[in-house]
Amino acid sequence: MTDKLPYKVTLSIPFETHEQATIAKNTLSPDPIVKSVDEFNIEYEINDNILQILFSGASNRIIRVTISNTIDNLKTILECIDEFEGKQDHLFEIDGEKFTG
Amino acid sequence: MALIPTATYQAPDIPHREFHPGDGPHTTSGTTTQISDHVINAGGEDRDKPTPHKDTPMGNLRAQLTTLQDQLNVFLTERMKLDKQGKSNEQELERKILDEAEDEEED
Repeated sequence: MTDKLPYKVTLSIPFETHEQATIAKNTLSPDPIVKSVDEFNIEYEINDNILQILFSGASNRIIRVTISNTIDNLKTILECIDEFEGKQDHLFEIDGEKFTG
Repeated sequence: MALIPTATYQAPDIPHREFHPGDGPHTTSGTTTQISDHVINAGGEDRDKPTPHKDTPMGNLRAQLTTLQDQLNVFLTERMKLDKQGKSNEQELERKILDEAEDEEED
């Protein structure tokens, strides 16, 4: 049987902890990157502290678009972890509205 | 411990190709993710420019990932060009075959 998605890229992202890798996976996985399931598939796996993302596509074009998009999102996740991990929530007010963060 | 992101590529004509960000220096300003050179040369400013990375494991990972993203984008864009070229060569060949067939019929 011929592989309908013969273009493949595996991205391996090592995190400091298993929990960080899980946060990244749970943040990325709910949102489909493209609608077409015939042309593209994505799988997430965690081995210890390493997040592996396997992209399979029908063309180089779809792989190019989906990888760059995913890496953009990953960079935002990394920045958020770097900024907020380990910090205590505190209460603050803006225009009389109460928030935690 | 340095956290180094890597990638592998596989296609019908390339069984295995690895990508590694290398020694650097690495920054969060990707060459393939910024606004176009045309806009920059015209004095435009990238208002969505990423913040510089911190010298932390996560910060350095973000910078290295930007380098890896550039490598993948350049490589895949080149592959897309080759695909397009291959398609137009195929179409050219098909057109030639059809033209020759028509010529033979006319003879």
